[in-house]
Amino acid sequence: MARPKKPQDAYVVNGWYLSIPVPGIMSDGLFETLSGLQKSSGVVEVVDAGTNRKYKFTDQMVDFGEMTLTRTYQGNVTDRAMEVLVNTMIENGLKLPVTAVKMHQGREVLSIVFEGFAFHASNYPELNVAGTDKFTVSYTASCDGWAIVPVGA
Amino acid sequence: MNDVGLSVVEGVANGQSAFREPSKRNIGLLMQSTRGVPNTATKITSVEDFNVIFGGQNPNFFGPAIVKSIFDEAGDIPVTLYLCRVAGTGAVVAKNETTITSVAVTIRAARKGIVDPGVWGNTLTAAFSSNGLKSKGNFALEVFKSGSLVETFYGETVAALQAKVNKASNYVTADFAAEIPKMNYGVHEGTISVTNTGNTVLGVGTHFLSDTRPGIVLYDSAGTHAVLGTVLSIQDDTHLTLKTAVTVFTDKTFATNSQSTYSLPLTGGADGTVVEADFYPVESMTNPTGLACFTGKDIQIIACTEFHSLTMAKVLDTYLRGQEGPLGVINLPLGATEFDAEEYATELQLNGISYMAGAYLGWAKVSDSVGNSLLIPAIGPVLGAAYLRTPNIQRDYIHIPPGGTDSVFKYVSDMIPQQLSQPLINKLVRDFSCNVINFSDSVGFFVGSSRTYSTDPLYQSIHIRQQTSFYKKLLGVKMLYVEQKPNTPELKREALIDLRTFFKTEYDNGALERSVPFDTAYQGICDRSNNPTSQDRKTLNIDALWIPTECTEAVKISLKRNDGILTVN
Repeated sequence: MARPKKPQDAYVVNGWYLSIPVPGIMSDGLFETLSGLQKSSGVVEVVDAGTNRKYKFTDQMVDFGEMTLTRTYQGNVTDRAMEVLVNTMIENGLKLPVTAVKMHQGREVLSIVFEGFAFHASNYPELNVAGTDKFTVSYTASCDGWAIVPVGA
Repeated sequence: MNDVGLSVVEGVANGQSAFREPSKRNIGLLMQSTRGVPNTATKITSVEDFNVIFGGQNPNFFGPAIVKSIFDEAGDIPVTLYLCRVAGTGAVVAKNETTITSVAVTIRAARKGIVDPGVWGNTLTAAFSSNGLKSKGNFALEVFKSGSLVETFYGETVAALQAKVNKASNYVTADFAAEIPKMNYGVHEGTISVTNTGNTVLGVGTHFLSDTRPGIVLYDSAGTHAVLGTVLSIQDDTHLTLKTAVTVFTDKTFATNSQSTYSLPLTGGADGTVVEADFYPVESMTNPTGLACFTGKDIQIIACTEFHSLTMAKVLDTYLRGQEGPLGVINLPLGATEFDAEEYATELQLNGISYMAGAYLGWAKVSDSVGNSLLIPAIGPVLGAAYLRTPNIQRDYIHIPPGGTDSVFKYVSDMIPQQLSQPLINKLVRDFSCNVINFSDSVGFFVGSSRTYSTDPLYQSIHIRQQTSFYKKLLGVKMLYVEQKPNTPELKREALIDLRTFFKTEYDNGALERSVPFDTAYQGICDRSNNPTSQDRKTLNIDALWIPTECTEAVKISLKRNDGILTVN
């Protein structure tokens, strides 16, 4: 076995944006965080009677989990467009193909393509006369699937 | 600049319209028919349209019966046909040229202002009525077809009447050389007088009983045709009473408004002599003929209804290769044998992309509108049942093969030939790219194969040909936004993601090969490998690699006795 090769580069978690194909939002949502991006399946176990080992197998149910996104209100039309979009998604079940773009050193390196993306909740911050936090709204979202697509040069 | 103060105005937002995918199965039929403006592809979506525009059924041609068969077999499914009539040389438009009150009038058989030749026009009669006769203050033109009133138009002037007729009539055009006066003063014999102020009129040499009637207005025959009075009652040829008292006048010649209806039967219409060459395409910016009438139309399937010959098929094949989109559907001639199929194959098969569906072997017995049996080319029921109904049953996907038991013919009583032997079917389909109609006791007649004239396995299936043409057209619309944009990495990413999203949906719908993962069935490439740094910076190359799904053509179920596994003691 060869020794591990030395690191060439390291992506960082910053440098990303979300593109929602809705007039008035597009890439202007300026989301700050996206957490909970995941793909998982459950596990079933079978015990080997001879060794008493537990053998684990996938239950074949693929779950893309629940994501949380945050953005800060800016007092512009994007805020209004987001409110309308979230309302429409909650009340009418609208889903959209959405793309998250990851940048590295100022270049696009990959896109995360979401299929059937929908917001299910928007949570507003505590209003506080003495508070000094940003007016950050957090959104709960889900998708039917996502895939990482490397960006061509 | 806005007005000072509050102003509220009405308007329509110029929002973007939602994306609409292109048509999938519009059928263009080049045909002979009873009527129809020649060399003009007309869109119809119902039998009623066909009856009005193309004159309904006619046992002299295959076209009308094929149209009926398509609608019959399609059932409740939406049908869009582009029909184009070939009238041939010597076709004459029925007309009536006459003079009405010194104005030359020509009535021609036509539809919406465009002349429509053929003997059908000889069944028409136009009836022109003077102003006020049929409708107060209006001229009238009534159109009778075989004696039945089918249309009535009114106009305050002849020009207005003519404009209405030429815009809306399904049967005639009218051409009036000049305006016809609303009043047509007919001067009558004798003179009239009112000797005492009152309403009693005395005539000298007059024929009141025949020249007037109660309610008719009497005019001075001279000068400005002043109104003399309205008739209340007539005593005899020289005495009548007016409705109201008038001032005294003596010895005036009088006139009445002469109103009449002129019957204008159309004559001289003749059908032309149609030969196969009339179906050949002659491209022209202004007056295309034959197959060229379909160029540029929203048509995905093209067939000719009348001439089922190899020469016609070859012309269609050449035309379609120039179009690179629509699929051609042809029929082998009546009584064709495997040798005919072989001859067609020799001429039409090619080892590459073919836009021709393999010729359908067989002629179908169908019923005409009064129940008589009629023999028509199988492409009629094939188009209705296989190309329209079958995909619609299967959610209208473009990748559904036009065949199988979903395409069973519902309105075909028999086929010629009725049944083919299995070895012959194998030979026809595999060797001669000929499509066959199968028969099953439990199901009936249905389309048993769907091959094109390509011998390359990549292009052998009709549904893949249709699917590819559809994708070409759809992506041509969907990806149009890429044109005239800054050639940036963001644009490339957007294009790749849009393509991927589109093909992923198609993959999920079963249009791409499902035995492999999506990333194998589809790959989008837009990187340095197809966009080298040396290329023109205004160029963007995107490769979408896809694997279409194939259809089952040969299914073998082996029913094997397996008694040997039993243990016999």
